[in-house]
Amino acid sequence: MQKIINFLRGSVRLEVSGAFPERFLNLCAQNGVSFWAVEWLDAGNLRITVARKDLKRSRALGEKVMCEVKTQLSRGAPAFLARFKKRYALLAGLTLSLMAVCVLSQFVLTVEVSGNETVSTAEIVSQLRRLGVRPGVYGPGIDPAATAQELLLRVDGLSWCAVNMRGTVAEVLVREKVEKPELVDDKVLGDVVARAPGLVTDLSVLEGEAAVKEGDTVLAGELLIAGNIHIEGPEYGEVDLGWRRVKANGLIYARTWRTLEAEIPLEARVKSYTGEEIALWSLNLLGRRINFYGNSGISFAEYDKITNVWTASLPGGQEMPLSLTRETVRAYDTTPAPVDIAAAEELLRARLDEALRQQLGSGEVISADYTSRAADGKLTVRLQAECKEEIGKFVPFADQAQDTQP
Amino acid sequence: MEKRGKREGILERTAQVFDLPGDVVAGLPRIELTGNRELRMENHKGILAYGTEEIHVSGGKLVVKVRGDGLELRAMNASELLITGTILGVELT
Repeated sequence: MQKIINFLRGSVRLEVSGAFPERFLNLCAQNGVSFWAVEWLDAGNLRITVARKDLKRSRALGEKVMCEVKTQLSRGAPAFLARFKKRYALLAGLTLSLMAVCVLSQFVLTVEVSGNETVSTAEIVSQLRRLGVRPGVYGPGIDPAATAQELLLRVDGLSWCAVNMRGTVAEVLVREKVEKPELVDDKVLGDVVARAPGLVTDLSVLEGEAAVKEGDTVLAGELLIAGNIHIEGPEYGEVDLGWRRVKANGLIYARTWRTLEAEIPLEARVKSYTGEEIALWSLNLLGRRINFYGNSGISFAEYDKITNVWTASLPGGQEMPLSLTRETVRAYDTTPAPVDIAAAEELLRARLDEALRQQLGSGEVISADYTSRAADGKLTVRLQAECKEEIGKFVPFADQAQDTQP
Repeated sequence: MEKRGKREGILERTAQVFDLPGDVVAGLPRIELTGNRELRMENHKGILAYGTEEIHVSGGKLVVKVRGDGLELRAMNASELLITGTILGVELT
């Protein structure tokens, strides 16, 4: 503890030379100058350590007893800080840094959006920018409540919003609207018809009257479950009870056969870089872009633009509103080149598989057969697939009249 | 000087007669030895000689000679001092 105190208040090692250096010690003790680490060198010389604040008094006391007091070494925090006394540039830098911290902390450096899943952050940030909340804006000038209200009005998918100013960070918390579930209207009456042609393998009718049976072949649009049900009268009776109209409902599974086709030219134009290249540098500071390339345009007819952005970030990964951008413009010419047939076929097969999956929905593929043909400068791949899928599709009646009585 | 000495003598006797502590009443030096490593002295009158093997301290009428090895004057103020090291003997003259 004493060492820490001595370090904080600073200490000075003194060498005292004179005829009677012990008188110096006694005088120091009488005058309240505390000293320690006394080292007697010889009869007329000794070394002591005193607190930095007692240095002047020690010298004065030394003069009284005809002793020469020389400073040998200064230690502790004050001595360390005194080294910087004449470093004006350092002091100026320190002052400027402190001022920069004080001034810059008043400005928004980052805008953080959280709580959104379906509404894109870019959309929210874009609207916030229009409302004046963006990196570089003066923080106290933002009205968080008004901004949050305005943001709710401007962005459709939001149900709640709050803007919190935390130092240089504008934190925007949002909650999204919950989508209204699609309501099935039971009052709409209609039939279930075939969405695609196929061979019926399984049917389960929940409402309505089955118009087909297992093993039947149906065409697209053909009636599968009728919503118009004729109510049979009693046997041998002459009374016609009429028709009952319902919303037909049920699952009709069928084997279907689908044919899909895709093609690609056998010759493609490929890029070859000419070697000409221009680098365009720009700096983005607090949302403002500073171009270093002036007004120089791009003279190439065809070119690729590759953009590299280096953003300054804090050790925690927080991005700062300072980025350096390099846009590399590379000129190229296009030349015709033959396409690799195997790779092209692979590509077309993948495309056809994807298209089939989209058409089937929850259905499954039983077997698939691919045929490819190269003719007239094109490669054509045809997919013939046997599938099992639910083919029912509800079609409402044009006339929604209720049950009919004879 | 003589007057002061007489006064001190009276105070010393008074302390003896009334059974009072001499260091308080007469300002006599008080020496406290802790083992052989530390010597604390109150009411001293200053250092007379200093060395690692011997330190002479004035106690007014008498001189306290502290002998030992690696002696060091650890702390000192107007009335107290602390000597550390291996103390081998204390002599009063």
